[in-house]
Amino acid sequence: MGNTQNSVLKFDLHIHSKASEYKESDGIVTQSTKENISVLLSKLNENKVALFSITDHNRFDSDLYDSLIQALNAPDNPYPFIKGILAGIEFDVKLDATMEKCHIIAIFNAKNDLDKLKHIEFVINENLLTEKDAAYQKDKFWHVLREIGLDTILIASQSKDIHNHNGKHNALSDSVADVEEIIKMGYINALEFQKPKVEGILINNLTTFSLPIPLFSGSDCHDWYHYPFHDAINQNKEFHHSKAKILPTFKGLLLAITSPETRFDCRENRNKIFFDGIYLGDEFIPIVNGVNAIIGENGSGKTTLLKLINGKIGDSYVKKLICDNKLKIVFEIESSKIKYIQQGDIINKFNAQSLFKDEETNNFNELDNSAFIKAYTNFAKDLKCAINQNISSERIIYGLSKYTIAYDESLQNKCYYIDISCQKNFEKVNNPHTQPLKDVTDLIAKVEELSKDDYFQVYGEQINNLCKELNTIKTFIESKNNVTAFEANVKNIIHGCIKDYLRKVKQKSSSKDQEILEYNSKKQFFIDSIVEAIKLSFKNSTWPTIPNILRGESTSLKSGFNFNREALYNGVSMIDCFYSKMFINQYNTIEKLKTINTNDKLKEAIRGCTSIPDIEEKWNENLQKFISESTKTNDYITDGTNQQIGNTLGELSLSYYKYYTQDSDDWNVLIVDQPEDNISNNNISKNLISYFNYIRNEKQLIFVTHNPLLVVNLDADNIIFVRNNKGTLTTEQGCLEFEDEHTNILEIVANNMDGGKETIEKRLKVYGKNNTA
Amino acid sequence: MEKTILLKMDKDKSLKIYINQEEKYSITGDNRSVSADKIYEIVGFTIGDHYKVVSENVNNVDKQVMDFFTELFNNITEKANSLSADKTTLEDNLDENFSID
Repeated sequence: MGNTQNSVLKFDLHIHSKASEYKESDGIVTQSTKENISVLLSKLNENKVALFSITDHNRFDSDLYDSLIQALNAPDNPYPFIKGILAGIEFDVKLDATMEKCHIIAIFNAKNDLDKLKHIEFVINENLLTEKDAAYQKDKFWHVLREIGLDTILIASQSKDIHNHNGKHNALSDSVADVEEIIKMGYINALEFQKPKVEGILINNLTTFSLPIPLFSGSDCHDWYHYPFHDAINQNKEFHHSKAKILPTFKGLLLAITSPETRFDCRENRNKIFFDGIYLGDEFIPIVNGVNAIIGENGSGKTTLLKLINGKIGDSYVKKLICDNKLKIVFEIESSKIKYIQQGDIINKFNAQSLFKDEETNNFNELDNSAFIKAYTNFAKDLKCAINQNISSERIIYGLSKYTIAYDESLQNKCYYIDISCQKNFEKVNNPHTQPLKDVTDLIAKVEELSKDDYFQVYGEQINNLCKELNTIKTFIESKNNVTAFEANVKNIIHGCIKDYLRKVKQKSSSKDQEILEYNSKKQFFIDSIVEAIKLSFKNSTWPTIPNILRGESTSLKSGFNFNREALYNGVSMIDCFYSKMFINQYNTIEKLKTINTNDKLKEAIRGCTSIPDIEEKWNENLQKFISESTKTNDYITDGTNQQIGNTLGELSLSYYKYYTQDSDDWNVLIVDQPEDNISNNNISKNLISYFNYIRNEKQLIFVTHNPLLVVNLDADNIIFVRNNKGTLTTEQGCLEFEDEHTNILEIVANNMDGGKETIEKRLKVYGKNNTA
Repeated sequence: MEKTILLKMDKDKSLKIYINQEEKYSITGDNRSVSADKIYEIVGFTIGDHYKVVSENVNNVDKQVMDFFTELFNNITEKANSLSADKTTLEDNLDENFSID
């Protein structure tokens, strides 16, 4: 018998023998005798039943048990599938004096000890029911059990709806008015059914129960020759054996009762790539294809075992421990099949805000901030343009006083050469078509790009038409743009040529002519200034409108989570933030900015600007700071219902495990060093255990832990207890129920883990206050 | 379109500017000045046009003035012609029905 629960066993705790004959008048148990145990054992072996019990009506045949135990202990016994036998009796009990009797199977922890078996028989014979239809009253029944004095599991027969109290079926509900109450009180540990449809009814009856209540099937076989049927005539063709992931012992059954969700209806692990075990010198320490918990004191070498399994043996102390103890892994698994969460990994990633987004698992989509950046860059540009225009107007209008010209009769004479005046900004032609041309060209390029995308192939015709329309518009704009550009070019040419001309003229002119030209030039400048001032006085600066509120968010869906990323500007106005980054506090509205009409005022208004030459640089610097600040992202995770998962370390740690355990990626082994870190016991019980349970039949889990909840409540399949005696490692290993002359896993958990004893006691309370394992 | 700019110095020292034989502007001897805007307006530069400058000073009046002014127009038209040459190819490709504002 192995000491880990790595396979699912069939069991049958309801088989009769000839000892039940006093209630069976038709002779169906006549041949179910000690002499025919080979018939029963062969049938059980044939049906691959690993654990069974002979549960006669109010009788106990210790001789029969002794014979069965000896047959199974024989070294060459031909029943390889049969692993264990438990002592038991089917009692007739009247729990309520005013109601009918019921059948209750009691399974005793006799440990196949002949003295204990004989004692059971003695107690029964001392309290023997002789009448066929007789039953123990409730008090008498408890008295008998107390006299037997062994740990006991009670399984009540329930062959119908628990609310059916009509008698006749020897069911628990025939004997008590409230089945739920008696189960809650801990009198009954499990219910037995025989037909699948009854199992369905009972599951439905018990859905509102807060405590798990296991349901067993029992063959109720009387005639061994016809096992698993009742007898030659009464044959329940729908019968199927109960299965549980247990060691075939009383303690295994007990732990199954206290955690039916992890022990019953289990299927074999579908995972095909897993670690088999570790060699510690010549000793082989198995690792099961299920849940493995490595426990032990600090410094006992637990993490070293994890690192060995995971191939991370770079640290010198790890190397030394491995070398000194001749530790060796049976075979290695490629790293892509392993998910390894080291101790401190989660807190480090949490602090670095990189949970869920390391190199391998970048779950958050990048944000496209271009619309926001463009909106505020343009806003800033237009704002600066308006401020500059304000400053220019002010300078020009109020600077006119500096420009004077005195009329000089002598300079009114004609020049010899032709004087050509060139108005200010003559060559500067505003081309309103340049930007629209660029925009429509970009648009065409984008549409053409889309037309090549597979997704848009179905819209090919519409996209072609769109391209044609856009090209028509582009042609119109282009022609207008060319005309205006040509005008600008020609004026520029004329301007340049006039300058050359005036230079030559100046060289050839007399001093009087030069004076006249200078006078004319000054006069032209004077006129230009007045004209410009008049124009500006009529023209208001164009102040930009505040950018719209923009969206900056993305959502990526994976493994039942929504990975959301949102920029600071998402859905909110950033104008106040813009003003505060760009300007000192008092300039927080357009109206305030309109009061800036000198470069000095602008310098003072711009945050951090100390001199006029720095205005441009500081302006750009502040704008970049604003954009950088506004495009910072906040990552958060929501579950499938869009319920936000908290941002505390504990909450995110929990979500991290949930995410990993819901991850459908192709990996096989989850290795975690202390998964309990940062997570409350309440959350471990309510959530973390269920996450690990969810994948226990699909992956291999190996973790180091100091938390007994992850050993006892998670119902680890294999517990490896590591000791380190001055550098020499020793281990003890097995599932929770494993015990032999050297090792008792429950005792190890109770004695070596903080809170271990309490956790075990709490689990066993389900079984009954007065029982101890 | 071919455009001929004739710069003609009259005996009375007035300088007349003709575009394709049509008088467009006159710079009198009393006020020898003109603005850059006026020059652009007089010539009516248009994409695709080709300009030729001809000067006429029969009486050889103020020759230096005439030479400088002619040289100015030669310089302008030479460069404008090269611009037009570049643009002509583009304009040829435009649909004839397109109107240019």
